[in-house]
Amino acid sequence: MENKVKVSAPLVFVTGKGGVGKSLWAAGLATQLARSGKKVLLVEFGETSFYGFFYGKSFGMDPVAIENNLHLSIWSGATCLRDYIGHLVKIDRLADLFFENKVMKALIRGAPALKELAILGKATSGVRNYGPELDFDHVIFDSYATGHFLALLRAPVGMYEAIKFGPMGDQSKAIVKTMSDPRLTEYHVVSLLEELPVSETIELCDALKSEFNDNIKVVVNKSLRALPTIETSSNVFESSIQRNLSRQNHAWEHLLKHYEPAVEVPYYFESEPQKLVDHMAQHSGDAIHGGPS
Amino acid sequence: MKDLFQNTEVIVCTGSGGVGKTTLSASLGVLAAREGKKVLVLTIDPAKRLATALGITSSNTVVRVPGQDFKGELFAGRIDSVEIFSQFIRNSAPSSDVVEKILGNRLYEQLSTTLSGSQEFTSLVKLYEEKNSGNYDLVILDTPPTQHAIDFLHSPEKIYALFQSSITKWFINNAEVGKSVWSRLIHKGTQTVLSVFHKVTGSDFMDELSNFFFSLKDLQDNITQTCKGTQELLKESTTRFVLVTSFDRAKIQEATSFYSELVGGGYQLHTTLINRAFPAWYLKPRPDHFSSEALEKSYEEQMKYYSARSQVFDQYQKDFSDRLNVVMLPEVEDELAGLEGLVTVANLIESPTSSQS
Ligand SMILES: Nc1ncnc2c1ncn2[C@@H]1O[C@H](COP(=O)(O)OP(=O)(O)O)[C@@H](O)[C@H]1O
Ligand SMILES: Nc1ncnc2c1ncn2[C@@H]1O[C@H](COP(=O)(O)OP(=O)(O)O)[C@@H](O)[C@H]1O
Ligand SMILES: [Mg+2]
Ligand SMILES: [Mg+2]
Repeated sequence: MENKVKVSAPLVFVTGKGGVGKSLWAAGLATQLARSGKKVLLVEFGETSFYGFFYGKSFGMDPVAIENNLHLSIWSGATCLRDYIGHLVKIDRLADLFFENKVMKALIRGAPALKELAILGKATSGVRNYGPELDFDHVIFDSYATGHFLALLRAPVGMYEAIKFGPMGDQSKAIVKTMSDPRLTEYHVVSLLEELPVSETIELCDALKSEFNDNIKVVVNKSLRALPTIETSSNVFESSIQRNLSRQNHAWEHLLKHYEPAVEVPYYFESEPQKLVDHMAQHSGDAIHGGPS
Repeated sequence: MKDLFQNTEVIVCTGSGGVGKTTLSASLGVLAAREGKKVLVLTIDPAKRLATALGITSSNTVVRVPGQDFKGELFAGRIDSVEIFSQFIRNSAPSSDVVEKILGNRLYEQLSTTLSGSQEFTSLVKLYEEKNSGNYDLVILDTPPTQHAIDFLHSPEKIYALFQSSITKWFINNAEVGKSVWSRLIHKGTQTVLSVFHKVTGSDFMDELSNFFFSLKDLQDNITQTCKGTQELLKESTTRFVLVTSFDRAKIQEATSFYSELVGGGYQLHTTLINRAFPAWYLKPRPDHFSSEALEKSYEEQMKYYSARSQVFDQYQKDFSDRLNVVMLPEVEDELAGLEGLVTVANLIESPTSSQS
């Protein structure tokens, strides 16, 4: 198939149903962009790290180099807020006082939308020229699964509706503007060729398109469609493969009616983390540069 | 596996999103009903096909699963977080004025959707309510998709911390006084904190937040009680956790640390279900004829891959078998449709290596 993954925006949010391969796609894409000479930051959202295990290193908020041009960091709501407040108040002691306050602690842990705004505020700060600088050509976000992801994106929208004025309103508005600009932000929706992930993908793309922007790339992962088709077989392995194939083809047709996938990644029967990332990088590279798929 | 239901009144199925939690919760329900229990399965966002199989309609009401013929009885319900949240407020507020004030607050909608832990909180509220109804021998709770299995356990704590009266009072008092241009009445440290908060969020936000806390103060007792009640329920000796996980090294690693956190926290993890661990053909003898060289090559490649994975599993099994039940479930080949689909999975949970049809 013709490949259409061209990463045009500086900010790339990778999302999709749980377990579909978001983290691996994000890592492969980031690696590929870095190897082609771009300065790339791969960001994982959350408190515990998948990549930490994957790369056998521990990561935090400060970017750590994993290879030439490629840095990795983990952002949580709390660390993003800390970063932002540190930037605003400039005096460390004041920021410390703020974060040690029992009430603020509880608020930060649980208050509506604060963490979401802090994360998106930091994510968009580079292109908005606001807040601590993020000096990279591309930032790839291995973000949350579908439901959480939409809640994350909708937080500043809702906040702006509730509070129009003051820093909260201003920041929310600026964040939404960035997330809605196809030149600044693109969305990669990873999907498997199974009924549920495909319908979730279609719904998610519809929502992103109508609420944010349409710079969306659908990444089909773990495809078996390159395997040969055969009519019938009494071989248990072959009949299982055929059943899977017909299910995958069916899901593919369904997806195609709504969105044309930008790239189709095969199932790699490989469990070595770095090899998997390399396969992914290679594949997204071919896709980006229009090479063989 | 059988002893999972012995002296058990609540089963909580945890695990990260997309691993098959909802399907396996319902299948555990089938198993329990087959053993003669009157069981309720509370699902979260069931896929359409699964909802149909269970006879669940769009509302929050519990239904008796249609077309069943078990020794016991199977009921199912769906947790609608937003609705339960507003219901909770209606039931806890002292008057309808208060209800209106809360539901009309500009931050309310944000609260019921993005307050971290709100979905977990509402599912626990529902669990608590159904368990205490005394209508069932067993209630099985499917949990919201979290990034990590452990997130679920921390949710009542988070909500509890946020609504503790000391916090709310601090906020209401100080924000009120604070309005009079950072009055000197406030403690110096507090003043600093408030001014930083003001700088970040602005007075509109602070006003709205303090209004919000003010209108919620009548609910505090109820929120506190519910949080405490659910936390206790999760630690009761008749409550058991089941961890559903997919099969890769990172997830197994996560399962290991989840196990330690559960045990450390005084909860009981009974079983780990590793779902879709291998295809059904993996356990069958090698076919002696292949249609093409490409397919034979693919067979070898996949065989190698799955056996490498099962070594990881063997290690996990070895580390935990004395303390924990670990069950590895194969990929089901046929479409998992209707109650029959759930029965198929239930059979596999009972004996994972048995043939599928
Ligand atoms: N194309 C692929 N081929 C083989 N394994 C894959 C592929 N994509 C993802 N995986 C594996 O599948 C599992 C889930 O992928 P992951 O990236 O962690 O998903 P997510 O981040 O969406 O939860 C991981 O073990 C990953 O290594
Ligand atoms: N062992 C299995 N074999 C094949 N398909 C499965 C198995 N377990 C779950 N599924 C399928 O996987 C999909 C996701 O399952 P679901 O229970 O909705 O996951 P979750 O609740 O964790 O998101 C459903 O289509 C379900 O039928
Ligand atoms: Mg991931
Ligand atoms: Mg589910």
